[in-house]
Amino acid sequence: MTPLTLGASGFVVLLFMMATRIPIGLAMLVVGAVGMMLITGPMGILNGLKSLPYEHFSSHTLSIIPLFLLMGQFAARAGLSRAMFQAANDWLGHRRGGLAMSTIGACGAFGAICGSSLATAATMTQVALPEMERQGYRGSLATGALAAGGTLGILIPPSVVLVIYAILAEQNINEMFAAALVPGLLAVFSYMLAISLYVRFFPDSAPSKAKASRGERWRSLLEVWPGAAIFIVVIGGIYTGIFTPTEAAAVGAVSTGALAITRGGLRWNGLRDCVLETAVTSAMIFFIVLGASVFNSFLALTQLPQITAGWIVGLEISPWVVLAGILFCYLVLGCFMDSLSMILLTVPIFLPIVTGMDFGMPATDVAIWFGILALVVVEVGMITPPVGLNIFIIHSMAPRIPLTETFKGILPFLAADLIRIILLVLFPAISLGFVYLIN
Amino acid sequence: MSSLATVPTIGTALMRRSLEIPCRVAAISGGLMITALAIITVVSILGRWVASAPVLSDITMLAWVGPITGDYELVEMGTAIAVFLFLPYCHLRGGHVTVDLLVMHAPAMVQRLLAVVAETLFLVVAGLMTWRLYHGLLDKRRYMETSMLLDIPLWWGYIGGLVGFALLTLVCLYRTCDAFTYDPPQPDSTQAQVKENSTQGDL
Repeated sequence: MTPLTLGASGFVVLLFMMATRIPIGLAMLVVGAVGMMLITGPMGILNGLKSLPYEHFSSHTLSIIPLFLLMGQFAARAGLSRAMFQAANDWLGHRRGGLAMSTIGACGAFGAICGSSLATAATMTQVALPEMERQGYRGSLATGALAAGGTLGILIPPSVVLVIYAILAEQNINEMFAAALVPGLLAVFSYMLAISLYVRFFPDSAPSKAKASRGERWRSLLEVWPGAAIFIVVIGGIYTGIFTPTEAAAVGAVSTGALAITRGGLRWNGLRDCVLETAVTSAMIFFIVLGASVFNSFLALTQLPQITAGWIVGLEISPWVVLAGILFCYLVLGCFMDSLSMILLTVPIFLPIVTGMDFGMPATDVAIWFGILALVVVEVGMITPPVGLNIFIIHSMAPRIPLTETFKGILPFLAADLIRIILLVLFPAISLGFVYLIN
Repeated sequence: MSSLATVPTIGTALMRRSLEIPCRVAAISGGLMITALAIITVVSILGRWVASAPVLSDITMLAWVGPITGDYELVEMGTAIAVFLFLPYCHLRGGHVTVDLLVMHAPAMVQRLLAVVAETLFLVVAGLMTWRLYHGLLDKRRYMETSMLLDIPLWWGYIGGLVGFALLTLVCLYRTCDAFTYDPPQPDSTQAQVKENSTQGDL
């Protein structure tokens, strides 16, 4: 068997193993190790395994991940989510559908100190859903806004998946975080627009309420200053280069931790829960990263990615058609897989194709831009059936609203997502502009 | 409850109970380590800042203040040990990501068979990696490799790795035994789906 056919069959075996519910990280590790054994003999991989796990787990770049996860856990217990929702509500609540818009705004604010989509959706559901129900919002609009708002957690920096992409694509984490900022704000804006259009068509789905006085507005905005301060220090520190990303994550974890103790009343039991949640998610991520790295070394040995890329570039199809095809692949894959596994599995294959094509930009710019596109498209999978994780987590917290309602409620946001993806594809400057600005 | 559901045997229940505490202890100590690393990093940043700030750095009383030597090394080694210690607890809780959609509606017997296959594979891999890590530890000790600035022996980190993977292997053993009595979640109940989904991928 030539290395190339070996690589291709390895891929098929991997997909088959994943389909039979073998953990994704394990499947990648096994296929990669067996594949390498077939190419270089058993001694190479057996020797490699002696130090491979330690070398991966002790990577300084990857140490950001447990720190950001811990920061997110602390943030959820810092009592900030309620203040953020209150502030957004005082500013937007008087509009029709204002409470749903406030939810989006608060999700965006919370996403700025939390790098995870599920954690954002779960935290904001606790705060915003009871309020929306009390004011007589239609269930579908309420849960739809929460599910969509959750995805802001991953797009607005800090973002765990973006860190993984930066490592895979060998891009600067600072620049990736910079590139995600404007698309993140665009997402907040487009979701709010979607709500205001939706309530125009269905006025009875969302009653409006009295306007908050000017004093109340500023007072509630002042309440969220710790969140704003943490975001400015952590993300601003990364943008300006005062901190390395790992240092910024440490600062974020310590400051949200301090906030959780002083303001959220965090004690030993709470700390234990934070730490255990961080443990489960970190272990899950590091294990997939380990498996993916073994699998990707195997793929690189077979030269499958380079040859596929060369072949597709050689076809002389328009780069835009290829890009559309890749993004469509992500939409389909998103029906089966979670965002992180998807990124780890596909980026080594797709990135050489995309950077090999002529989009009229330098290859680094294409890599950054493609990362943002992939992230946005992958996130659509979080809110679409059949495996929309955000939707399931919200449903588990509010089983009284049927799943079918939520899926209906998500439609306006999906439309907003599609328009946003098209905008991001057509205007790379939305993603790249800020990167150039900080450099 | 499906008619195929069998009450877990007393053996596996006992295994679970005896694994629960060591796994939690390992995960919590790893987590506290991460917390400590965060604090060390912040202290180091403050030290760096004081040492380079225009007025503060001239004060003789503060002359000893500076960044912590080798904070990078500590973060690297500490993160590695912590993650190794996280692995058993994660697997005990079934925290690893899987693609559930395609086999969710398969007959219970098929699902049980697949669970046995997956858990056995995990057991073999975990056992193999424990064995390899042990030899990695011996290598690092033989060649006396140390970290760059603080001269911490690298094999200390490998001890964390070995503890984590050995415990993970035991968890795999338990989960393999348990898989023989695996009761698949009912596809028509959303509650089961939620339970399956909410345990994975907290991203």
